[in-house]
Amino acid sequence: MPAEITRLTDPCTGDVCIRMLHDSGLEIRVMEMPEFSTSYAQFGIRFGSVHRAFRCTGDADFTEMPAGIAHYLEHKLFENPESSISAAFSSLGARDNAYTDFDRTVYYFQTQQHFYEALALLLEFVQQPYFTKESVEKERSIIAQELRECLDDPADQVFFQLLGGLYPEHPVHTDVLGTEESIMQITPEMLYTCHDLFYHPQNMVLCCAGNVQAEKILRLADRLIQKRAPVPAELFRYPAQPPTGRLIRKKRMPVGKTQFSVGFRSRPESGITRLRESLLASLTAELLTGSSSPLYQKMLADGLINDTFSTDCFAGSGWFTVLAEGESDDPEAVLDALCGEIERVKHEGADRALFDTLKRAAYGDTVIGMNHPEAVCTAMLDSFIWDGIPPFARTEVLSQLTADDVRGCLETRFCTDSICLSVIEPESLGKEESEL
Amino acid sequence: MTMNKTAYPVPDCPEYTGNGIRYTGLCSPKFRSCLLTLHFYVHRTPETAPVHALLTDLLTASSEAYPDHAALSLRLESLYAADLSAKLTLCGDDAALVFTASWLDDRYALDGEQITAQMLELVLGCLLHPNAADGAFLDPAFRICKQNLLDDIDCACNDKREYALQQAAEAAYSGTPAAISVHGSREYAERITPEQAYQVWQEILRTSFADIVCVMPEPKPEIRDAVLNALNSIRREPEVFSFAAPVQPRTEPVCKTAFMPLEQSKLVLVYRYDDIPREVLAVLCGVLGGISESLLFLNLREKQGLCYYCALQSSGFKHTLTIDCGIDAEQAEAVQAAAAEQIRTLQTGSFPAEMMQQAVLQYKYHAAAIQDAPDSLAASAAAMHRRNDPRTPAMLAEAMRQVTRGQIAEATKQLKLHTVCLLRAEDGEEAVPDAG
Repeated sequence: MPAEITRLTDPCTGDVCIRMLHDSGLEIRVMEMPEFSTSYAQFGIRFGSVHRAFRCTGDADFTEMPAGIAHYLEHKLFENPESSISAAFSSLGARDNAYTDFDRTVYYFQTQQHFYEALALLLEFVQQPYFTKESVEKERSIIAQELRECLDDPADQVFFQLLGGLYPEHPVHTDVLGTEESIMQITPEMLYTCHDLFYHPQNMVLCCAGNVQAEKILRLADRLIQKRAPVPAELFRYPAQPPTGRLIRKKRMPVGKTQFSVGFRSRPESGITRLRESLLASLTAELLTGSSSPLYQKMLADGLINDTFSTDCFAGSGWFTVLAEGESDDPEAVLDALCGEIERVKHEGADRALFDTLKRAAYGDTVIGMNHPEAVCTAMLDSFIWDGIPPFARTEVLSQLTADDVRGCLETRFCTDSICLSVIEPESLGKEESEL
Repeated sequence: MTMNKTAYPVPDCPEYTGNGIRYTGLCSPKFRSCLLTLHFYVHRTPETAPVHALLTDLLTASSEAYPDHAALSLRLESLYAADLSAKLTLCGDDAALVFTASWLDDRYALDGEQITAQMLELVLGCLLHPNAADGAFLDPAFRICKQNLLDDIDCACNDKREYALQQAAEAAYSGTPAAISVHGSREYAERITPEQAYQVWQEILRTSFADIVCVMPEPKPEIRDAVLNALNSIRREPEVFSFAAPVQPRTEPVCKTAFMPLEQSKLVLVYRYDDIPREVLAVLCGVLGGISESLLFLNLREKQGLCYYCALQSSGFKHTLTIDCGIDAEQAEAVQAAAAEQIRTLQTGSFPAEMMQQAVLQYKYHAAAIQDAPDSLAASAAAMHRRNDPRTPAMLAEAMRQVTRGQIAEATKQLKLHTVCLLRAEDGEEAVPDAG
C-alpha cells in the first residue's frame, strides 16, 4: 500500500483531490465525483516529442532518437500478441484512445460501467510492450498518412513554421509525429529502449475522475503496477536559444485567406513559476488584444483582423511563447499594431478595471471547467506533467495576480528581440470535374 | 445509497406552450453553470442561407445596449466569463439558428451578484433589441460581421476533410436546400444588405418554430418566465417543420472529382437507404464504422493500410450514410471496393456477434455521457424533438439490444451507392521561399 496519501481541497469550490504516492513511485490523483454517470482514467508519461536525446549512466555520449519516436511508441503499445486492446475495452463498454504531445504521452479511457476492469486493462497494456519487426514496419504507412493529413492542415503548418523560426535548435519545432524520413528509421529496439527508460512508475501519473473510488484504484495499482527502479539516465539539456530578432516566415497552401501566427519568445520557466508566468502572460495578452480590448475592436473595424483572432500562451519544459493568431490580409500590420500597443501599455500602465474583469472571467472559466470528469482528469494530469505542482494551484496563483504585474510581464514576456511572424498565403485551388 | 443521476426528462416533460414555442427545463445539482439554448427553425433558400449564417454572428456580437463586440465581450467577462454564441445547424433541408448562453451559477459569484438575472436581460436584449435602427442593422457591426461571413466562405477550403464532405453534399443533394453549405454562397452573401438581414430576422421571430432548452443546477422558473414572456410578446405565425427529406434515388451513382494541391486525397462515399428503424441503423453504423474496431477500421486501416482515418456518419433526415477517408489518390478504387466489401459482409450477416454487443455498449456509454455535460443534454433534447421520437438515448440503447443480425443484414441490403466524391491531390506550385 502507498506510503503517502494527501487530500487537497480547492478553496473556491470545495473539490477534493486525493493524491497518493504509491510505493512503486507512481503518483495517483483521484477526484471522486459520484454524482456523475461516467468515469475517466488517464495514464500519463513524461515522455513527449521533445524527449529525444538522453545518456544512460556510463555512456560517454548522448543518444538521439529519430523525431516522432514517442508518438510511434504510443501507436505500437496498442499491439498485443494475443488479442486486440481496443476490442477488449469495447467489450467492457469503454472507449479508449491515446495521444502524444510535446511533453507527454497519455493513454486513457472513458466508461459508464466496468471501470475497474477497464483500469486493469489500461495499467497492464501500457506496461507490457510487444513489438516485432513486422508490426513496426506495418505502422509506417499509417503514421505517414497521419502526417500527410497534418501537412494539409494550415493551422498545424502556420504553427510549426513559427516554432521553426523561434526554436531552430530545439526539438519542439518538429511535428510531434516526426517526419516521413525520421519515422523510417524507427526500429523495435529503439521502441523497447524508450519504453524501458521513460515508462517507469516514477515518471508516470495515473489520474481518475468521475464515479470512482480512490481506495479501489489504489488496490488495483498495488496489484498491477510493476515495482522497478528507473534506468539511471539524464536528458539532454538544450542550450538557450539566441535572440532571433524579428523574423518573418512564409509559405503557400490552399487556404481561403492569409493565416498568420505571431510568437514572442522568452525565457522558459518550470514548476509553479511557469504556471504563474503563463497565467499572467495570458491575462496580459487578453488585456492588450482580447475581444473586450479597444485594440481588438479597432483592428476589427479597420478590417485588419476578423473574428478568428485569438491569443494564447505556449509554455513547456524548454519553451515559453506568447501567441497571437488569426486571419488577415496584412499580418505585418497586425504585428505592428500589437507592438505599438505593448509599448503604449508599458508607458501608460495597464487598465486596472479591465485587468480585474479578466481575472474574474478566468476564475469563472476555472470553476466551470472543473465541472466534468474528463476536464478534471486532464487538469490533474497537466499539473503533474508541469513538474508535479498541486492540482488546484491555478485558482490560488490567479488570486495573487494584480494589474501591477502587467508591466513586468510586458518587459519579460513580450520581448521584441525574439519575434517570429509565420504566414500561410493562399495558393489557387484546383479545377473541378463531374461525371454521371 | 443509490443516487439519481439522471437529468433527462421523462418523455412528456417538454412543455409545448403554444404559439410555436416549446420549453424544456432539465435540472441536475451536479452542474455549476446554467445553459440556455434557443433553436429557431427556418427553411432555407440560396438567398436566405448566408443571411441565416450572418445572423448567428451579428446577434451575438452586439446589441442595442452593447453596440460593439468589445462592449458585449466586456459585459460577458464581467459576468465571470459568461458566454453567448450561436451557430447554424443543418437539419435535412431546413436549419436551426441555435443561440447558446451559459453562465456560472449564482452560488459561485464572489460578490453575491445575480448572474442569472443579468444574463437573461443580456440574451433577450441581443435577440429582441438588436443593434439596429429604422429597420436595418447598424454599422460597423454589420459590416464587420458580413466580412467575417465572406472570410468564412472563402476559408471553407482550409479544412480539407470538411471541404470534401461539402463537395459530396453538393453532389448528393443537388437541387435541394441540403446542398447549400452552412454559410451559403459568396454570390448571395455579397448581396446581403443591413435592411434585408433585419427583415429576415424579424421574419424568423414571427414564423420560426422555437425550441428552448434550459439545463440548470436547480429549478429556476424565472428563466422560463422571462424567455416565454419575451417570445410571446411577438405576434407569431409559426410554420410547420417536419425535417425528413430523403434524397432521391439514383440508378447509377454520381462521381465527382475536385483537384487541390494536397498531401493527402479525400474520398467520400454517400449511400442511400429507404427506411431503416433508428435502433437498427444505430447498430449497423456502430458495426460498420462506429466502434473502435469497426469493419471499416479493422479492414481498411489495420489490415489493408489503405487510410489513416475512415469515418462514418448518417443523416436520418436525408436517409444517407456517408463514409469519408484520407487516402492516396491511386488507392481510390481499392478503397471504394474495400468499403463495398464491408457492406457485403453486413448484408450476409458474417460478422462477429461481439461487434453488435460493442455497438450497443458504445451507444449506452454515449447515452450516459450526455447526462454529464449541459451542452450535450440540451443538444440531445432538441434532437429528440426534431426527430419526433420520444425515446431518450438510454431508451434507444435498450431498443438496440433487441436488434438481430438478420435485421442488420436486411437493412444493409437497402444501402445503394449514391454519390462518390474524390478530392484529389495535385502538384502544387513551388512554395514561397522562407522570407526569414
